[in-house]
Amino acid sequence: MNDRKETPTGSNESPAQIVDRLLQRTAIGVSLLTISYAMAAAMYVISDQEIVDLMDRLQLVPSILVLLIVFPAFVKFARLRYRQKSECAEADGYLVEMFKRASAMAFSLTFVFLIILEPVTGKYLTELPTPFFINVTLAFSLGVLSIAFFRSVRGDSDDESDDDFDTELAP
Amino acid sequence: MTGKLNNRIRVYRAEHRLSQGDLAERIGVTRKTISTIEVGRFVPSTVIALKIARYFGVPVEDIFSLNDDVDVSESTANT
Repeated sequence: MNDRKETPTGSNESPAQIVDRLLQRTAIGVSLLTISYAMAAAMYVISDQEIVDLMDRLQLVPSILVLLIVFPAFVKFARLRYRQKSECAEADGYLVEMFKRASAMAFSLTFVFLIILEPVTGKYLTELPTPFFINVTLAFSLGVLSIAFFRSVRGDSDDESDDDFDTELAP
Repeated sequence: MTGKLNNRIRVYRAEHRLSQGDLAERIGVTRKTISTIEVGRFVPSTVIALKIARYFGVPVEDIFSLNDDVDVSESTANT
């Protein structure tokens, strides 16, 4: 019953699985970008030039990892779209819904964060440049998105017990 | 309308001797989607609910129902 068939996508993955994989990898990529933006922001407040130089070099690592992790999944997804698999556009499975919820939460909390940040920057952080605040905001927003997504899908391995009734009912 | 969504997917799967993966493949979703719907963790979209019902050849309300369906029908009868 569980034999995987070759699909028109050129692999044994269904379109829904390809969409889910892209979402999972996007969430991992977003986590890595959070680190990258946080490091970029930290460089404005760290005074030690050696540490800043080191962070500047290290900042490339998450960016490269994002490319390596997300790009292959994106290529598969793009190939699927190219072959006019309408399933991609209609995908409304569990992970898609969780990603949408995480995105909505990230947007809301970023909005609140900016509202709080606005008076704080006017009074206390006046000497810091604009790129610092842009990096902080991006790190916050992407961080909330990835945390919300991974929190909502954590512990799902408990639900993974597949019921193969053929096996269960076999004499 | 705030009642928890009950479903009988597992019952129908047992009748048709289908695994979660098989059902998922047939309606074009992942096994995780089916398993999370079954345990009530994920409320499916109307499209997925209709696809599941169509696959089993039954009305969608045979598979999905609200916990407070009894209360609603009782209050309707009283009015």
